Amino acid sequence: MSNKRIRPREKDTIVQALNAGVVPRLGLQHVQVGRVNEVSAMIRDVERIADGGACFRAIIGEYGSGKTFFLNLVRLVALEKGLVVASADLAPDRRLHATGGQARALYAELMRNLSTRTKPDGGALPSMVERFVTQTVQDAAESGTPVADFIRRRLAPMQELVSGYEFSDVITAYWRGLEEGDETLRSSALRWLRGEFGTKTEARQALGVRSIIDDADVYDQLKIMARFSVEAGYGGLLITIDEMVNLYKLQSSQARKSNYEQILRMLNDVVQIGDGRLGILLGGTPEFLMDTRRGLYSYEALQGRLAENRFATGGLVDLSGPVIRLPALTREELFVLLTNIRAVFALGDAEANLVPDDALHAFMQHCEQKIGEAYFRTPRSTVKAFVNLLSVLEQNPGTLWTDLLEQVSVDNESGVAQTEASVDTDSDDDLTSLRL
Amino acid sequence: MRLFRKILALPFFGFAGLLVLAAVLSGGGDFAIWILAGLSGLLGKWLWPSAIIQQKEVNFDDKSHILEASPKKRGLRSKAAAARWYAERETVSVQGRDLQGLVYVGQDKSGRPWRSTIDPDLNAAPASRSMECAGLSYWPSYFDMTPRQRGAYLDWLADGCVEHVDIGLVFVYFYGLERRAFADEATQDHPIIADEVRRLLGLFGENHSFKNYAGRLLDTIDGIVAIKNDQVPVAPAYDSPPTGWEFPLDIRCAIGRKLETTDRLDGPWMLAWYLAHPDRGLRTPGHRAFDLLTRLFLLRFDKAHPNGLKVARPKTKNAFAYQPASNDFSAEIKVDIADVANLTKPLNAAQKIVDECEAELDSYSRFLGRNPDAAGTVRALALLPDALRDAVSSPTVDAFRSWLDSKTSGKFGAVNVGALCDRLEVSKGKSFRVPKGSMRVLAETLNAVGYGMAPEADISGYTAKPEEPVIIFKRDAPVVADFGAAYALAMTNATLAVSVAVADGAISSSEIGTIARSISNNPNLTRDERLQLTAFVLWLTQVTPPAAKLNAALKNLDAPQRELLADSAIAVAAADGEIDPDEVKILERVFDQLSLPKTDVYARIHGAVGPTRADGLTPVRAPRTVADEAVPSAPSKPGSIPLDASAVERIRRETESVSSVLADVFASEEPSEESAAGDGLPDALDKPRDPQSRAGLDKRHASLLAMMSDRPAWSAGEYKELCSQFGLYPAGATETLNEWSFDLVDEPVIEDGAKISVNVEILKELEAA
Repeated sequence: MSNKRIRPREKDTIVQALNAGVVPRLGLQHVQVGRVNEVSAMIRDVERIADGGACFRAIIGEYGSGKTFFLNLVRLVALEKGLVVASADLAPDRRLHATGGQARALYAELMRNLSTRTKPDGGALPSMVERFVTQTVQDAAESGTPVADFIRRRLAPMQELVSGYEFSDVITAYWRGLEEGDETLRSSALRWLRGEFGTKTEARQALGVRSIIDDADVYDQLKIMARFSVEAGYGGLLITIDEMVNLYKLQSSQARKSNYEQILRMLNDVVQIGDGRLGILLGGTPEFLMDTRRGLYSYEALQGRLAENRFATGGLVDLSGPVIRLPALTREELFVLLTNIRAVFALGDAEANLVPDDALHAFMQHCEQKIGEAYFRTPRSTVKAFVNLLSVLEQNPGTLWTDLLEQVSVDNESGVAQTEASVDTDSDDDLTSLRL
Repeated sequence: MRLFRKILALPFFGFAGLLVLAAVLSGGGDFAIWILAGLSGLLGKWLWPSAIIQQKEVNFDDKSHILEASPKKRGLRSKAAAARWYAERETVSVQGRDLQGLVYVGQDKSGRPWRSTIDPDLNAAPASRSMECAGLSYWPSYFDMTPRQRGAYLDWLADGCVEHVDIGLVFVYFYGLERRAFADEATQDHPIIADEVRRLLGLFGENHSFKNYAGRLLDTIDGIVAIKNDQVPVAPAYDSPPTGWEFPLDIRCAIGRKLETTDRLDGPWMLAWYLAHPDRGLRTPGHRAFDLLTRLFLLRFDKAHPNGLKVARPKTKNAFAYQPASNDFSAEIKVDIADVANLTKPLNAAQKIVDECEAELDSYSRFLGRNPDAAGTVRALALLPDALRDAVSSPTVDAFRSWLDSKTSGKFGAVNVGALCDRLEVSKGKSFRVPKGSMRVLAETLNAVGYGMAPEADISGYTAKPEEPVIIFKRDAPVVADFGAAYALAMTNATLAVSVAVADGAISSSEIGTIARSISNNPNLTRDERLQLTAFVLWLTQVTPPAAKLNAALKNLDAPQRELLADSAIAVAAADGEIDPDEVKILERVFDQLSLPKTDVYARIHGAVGPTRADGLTPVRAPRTVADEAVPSAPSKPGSIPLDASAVERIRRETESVSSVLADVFASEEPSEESAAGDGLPDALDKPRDPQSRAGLDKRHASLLAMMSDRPAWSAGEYKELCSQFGLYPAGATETLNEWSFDLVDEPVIEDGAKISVNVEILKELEAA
């Protein structure tokens, strides 16, 4: 491992990302610590989606156990494998099921964050549509069929789904907007696709379609998007939804139940129908899964389906079930992570390591003193501080790590009583943001 | 050896001046009998009131004939010959009867007549058929008798002293024998006298008083005989507790002679000394279980004094006062052997051991007191001290043992508690559970025969219903010590664990295994406690114990104990690799009972069932628990970073493999490596290669890229215009080009922003590819 060469570009990407507290876009294989089974299982899932299959997974982990990192990792794997990925966090105003527009808000968020390999940071919806349209126009020209008919024919499989007919109308409208240089029409079509129309009247006036994507249609619409992604030349659609704990926090048991019904629907589709080209990853905390009053376990029908495999005992690992548990990091794992980061800085050359092993121990000890023994379970700020330390050492040759160590400050991100939000918090795990 | 009988201690020495000292040295000279014979006749009748008072004291209301008889007797005295001893078979005729010897006949010429002396002149009724002799005084004497009584006495003597008569007559006869043996110091007659007394004992032994006096006489004679015979002293053994108010001469002498050869006495000697000594006695347990007491004493004495008890030989010589039944005389027997009678120190040592032994036998004795027929039963045996238990065997116990053996062919066996109660005759109680007391008795009884039983009612508080089983198991040895606090905690823990394990409807072998491991790995438990706890857990799995006991036990725990229990409950629930929703429910309740925050449940379950937890990584506590809770397995002292080297190594290996897995996914073409770019692209080959065409890119996009590379940047409008020249749409074109670029070099060739530009470096890479 330590002698594996790391490209400078990967190093820069990794260092920048870690510094910003996000998952690096490149070179994840140099940073990821352990979890080979889980990662392999997810890679297989992604490949299965690309092969026409489907998957459903609940990624369960404590705060700081790396759920977000893991979801991002899977997301990057999926992008690399040619999938389209839509990601969103649940929030009080974004749910799987609602009647007040919160489900549509989730859908809109997912569509805004739609990513492809070339647009990994979201906003890939137009690219996807245009890629489809380009291809279709070309094929239509070759076959001499009118483009609108050809679009309808291509999208025929989707018309059997809810809103499928309107969907092909909207795609046709998008094409027309492009073709005719009608920017308003094109953006109206995009707005419709993103679920941004609030009323049917508005949509009819802008696009001439009779329906819009409403709270009730969200999951069906996602299935359409999955098929559409295939038509546009991608491997399928992967949806990652984090912060599922927001459902657990819903006060109304009826609202919780309705949302869990949606999850059950997704799970059933995957397990029973094997609905193609769609993967769903839900990230949540243990209580979201297990609380028998408010969590998924409170919903009888989900209990049995989510319970772990009864035969995977005695240390055997079974990852075929829908739940993947991510244990919190241990000191040892953090230690290996720091070793990896050091190797990234040294471009994989063990001779060029900036600091010896002793420095890693000393650094961990320092962190423990600063933010307590939980430092290794919420590694984000620890890692960030370490990256900073190595950066300083790298840019100031001759500096001794022992001199710098005492100046390293580490944000304590584990408590709610946190006074200043750390700059790297991308609100994934920030519980305070849920108190709206 | 003989038992020593009670001697009535009467204030006889109050007859001052009546005593004449007679010293008789006999035989070998190693002993001497000093006889002080008191002849009371000298004082005449004015002394009689004291005798009358004696009679009064015993409520014998017969003064009249005494007062009447005395002058009569006095008047007759001068006629007859002086009284003398008639040896065995020496016939003498009195008042028409022929007596066969062993009596004094005649008149005592000086002092008060001896009670036994037969004055032939005194009137006696003729031989009669009835032996009627009512009205004999407490201290009867021949001369005080009514003629009718004399007649009865003479008839009895003439018939060979075999008829059953008033014991008073027997005593008068006995007084004579006594006088011969000790007052007249006729040691040559001792064997004959002893034989005759033994014969009388056989006939009249049921009379307590006579038995005492006769026994004492025999003991004294035996003692003298033994001492004369110079036998090697042997520690006397008893088969029932001796009674007596005097320290028997033979034992005193035997101990004294033993001390001439050694200064240490072993158990049998000390026991005999203790038992023979009139000041020391046994309490009820000792009497009731005398045999066991003696066994136990010997065991305990050996333990306390393995080399025997050191006893200093006293300087005083033995002097033994013989108190005759007749009160006619007194005799002191002096022996030239050290007298141990006044030593108290050795007896105190023995007393201590006796007290301990009796305390040990107390419960056994009480049980026998309540159930007189229960000796030899299993339950009685159970109450014996351990040391005795093996020594005692009984068929009942053997049968019970083999029954238990058949029930525990494995290590543990289940037995219906009702059946067990029946077998041991223990009350099942009237309520629907066997009472705690009965459970205790069962456990104690089983313990006595080397078996254990669960539940243990005293510690766990659990009892079984009569139709429920209890778990029995064989022990190596009965448990002596009580179980400690560690056991109570471990038991609560196990109870909790079982209640969690059964939550999902069935208890799996891995769950049992986890509980069993937690028991066998608990360093605070003794071997016995582990065995007991294992049986208890088995019991819990067989029955549905009431939850209230557990709840009560949980309330009394301190914070670290709660933590410990919470951890182990979760470990059990997770033992089968999954947490069933039912188990989660139980754990939620458990945490509630333990007053632990409910949110911790999920965090801990999560930590327990996570996939990498099964391989021995240090489990960590939930992040949101309070800071002062102890984490037993991972203490984190400031200044030390405890890293498990093997864990680090394992993680490193796993990291390497995940790294290679990911590397496969994110594999990009290394520019320096041999170009094999085309191979990775399925649709790269079906397009003709020309300057305007690139592998994997259709003609329009390739042309667009070629055009774009002419200028560093294009505005959005310009880009759109450019695209439309090739019949393309801007976003779609960018997407297609970048897809292609990603496939080859893992980087986008078009950079999308305010201006659209071509990344020249990437383009170079692409051209190289």
